Amino acid sequence: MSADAPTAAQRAQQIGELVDRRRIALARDALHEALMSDPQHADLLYQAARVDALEDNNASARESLGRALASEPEHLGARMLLLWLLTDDGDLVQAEALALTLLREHPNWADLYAAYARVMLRALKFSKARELCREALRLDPANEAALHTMGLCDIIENPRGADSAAIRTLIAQSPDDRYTLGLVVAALTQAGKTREALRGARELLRLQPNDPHLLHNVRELAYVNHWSMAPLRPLQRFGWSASVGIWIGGIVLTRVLAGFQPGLAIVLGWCIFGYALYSWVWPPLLRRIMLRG
Amino acid sequence: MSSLREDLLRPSLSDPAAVAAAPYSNQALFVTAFLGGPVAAIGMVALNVWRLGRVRRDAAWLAASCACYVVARVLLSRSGPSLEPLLSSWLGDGADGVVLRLVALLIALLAMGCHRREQRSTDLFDLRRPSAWIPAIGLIVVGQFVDVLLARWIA
Repeated sequence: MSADAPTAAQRAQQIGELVDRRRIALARDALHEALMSDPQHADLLYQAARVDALEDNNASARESLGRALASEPEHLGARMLLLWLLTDDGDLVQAEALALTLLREHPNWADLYAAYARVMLRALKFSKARELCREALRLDPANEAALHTMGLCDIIENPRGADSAAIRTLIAQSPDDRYTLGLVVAALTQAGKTREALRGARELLRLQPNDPHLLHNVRELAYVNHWSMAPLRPLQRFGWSASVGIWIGGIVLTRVLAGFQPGLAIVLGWCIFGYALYSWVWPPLLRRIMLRG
Repeated sequence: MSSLREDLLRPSLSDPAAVAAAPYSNQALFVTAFLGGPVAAIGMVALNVWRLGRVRRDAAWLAASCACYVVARVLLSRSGPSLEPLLSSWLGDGADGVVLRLVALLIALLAMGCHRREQRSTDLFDLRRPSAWIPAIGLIVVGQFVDVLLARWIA
């Protein structure tokens, strides 16, 4: 080895910069080479786990993190990523235990409160998630992870999630960030503003053209916005509550009308039946056609 | 401030059974309620309540739903001659079935409202929902059977 050859830690740092810029193929090549000469280096294994996590290969990422933590149990980046992956995989009891251990070691780190809030949100403990986000934002008012989780809380708890103050702050702080844009798309979709959501999803896909999830999201939203789905907008907007409302209203109205205007009641009954049939048959058919194309 | 932090840092998921599981979808609830009636609707809601770990919170309104169904069934079965002409004049033939279906759909609507955050969260995190085919079919059959038995017993 020459005297100028970078150390494993320096290589890990360079690879980390590649991962930050989403140069995944380059990072993978560099990792392959670096791990050949130093297979148990914690920083290199951590970067390998980051690459796997970005490609949704959580099992491989967790395996790399296990090896990284075996050689350096206190590695903070590896433990933070493990916390993220445990949450993502739904291993919430382990995720909470790890979050609490990290919080005992770093009681004033806002990112950790935000990560724990995400665990609580995933466990459907909405009020605790919100409190943890507030604590994170008290420590660091511009913390993006906390604002992101607070935005998710707003979307879930408030049907008009697009009006979330946390999301507005994120848009002002980092309008081009892909997580912010992803959150905005989710908020618009949940608020029933599917056309605006489709525009956002297309913009997100333009930023990351190779992401299969984003492509799927664009196709889903394009299907929802298809012209033939226009009559079903109330059902899209209000979900199954609208279906229940239509059935209750339909049954009562046709039965009551049958007593006074039997002809009109029959026409109304057939109209409601036709609408229900259309809402059951056409959307899955159109979805299959559009998602295949 | 420190007591707030202590509260926040107290484990909430130390018991694995306390971790909520993804609920059955609103579509499953709607179809079960529509085809199976109030008993099936209550059964499907109870399954979701148990999966979401909301037994204490939802027990009261679930019990009230059961009471509403029993009252509706008793009224329909016992007060036949006095209520039947009135209901038939408003709702036509098979008024009993229509009333019970409305009760079932109202229970489903109430459950959708109560569990809207959990349902939205499940969609947002793209959680894998359990397959509803077997419980839904089972509840529809059991629901209709229980209703017939109850109607005969009351009459």
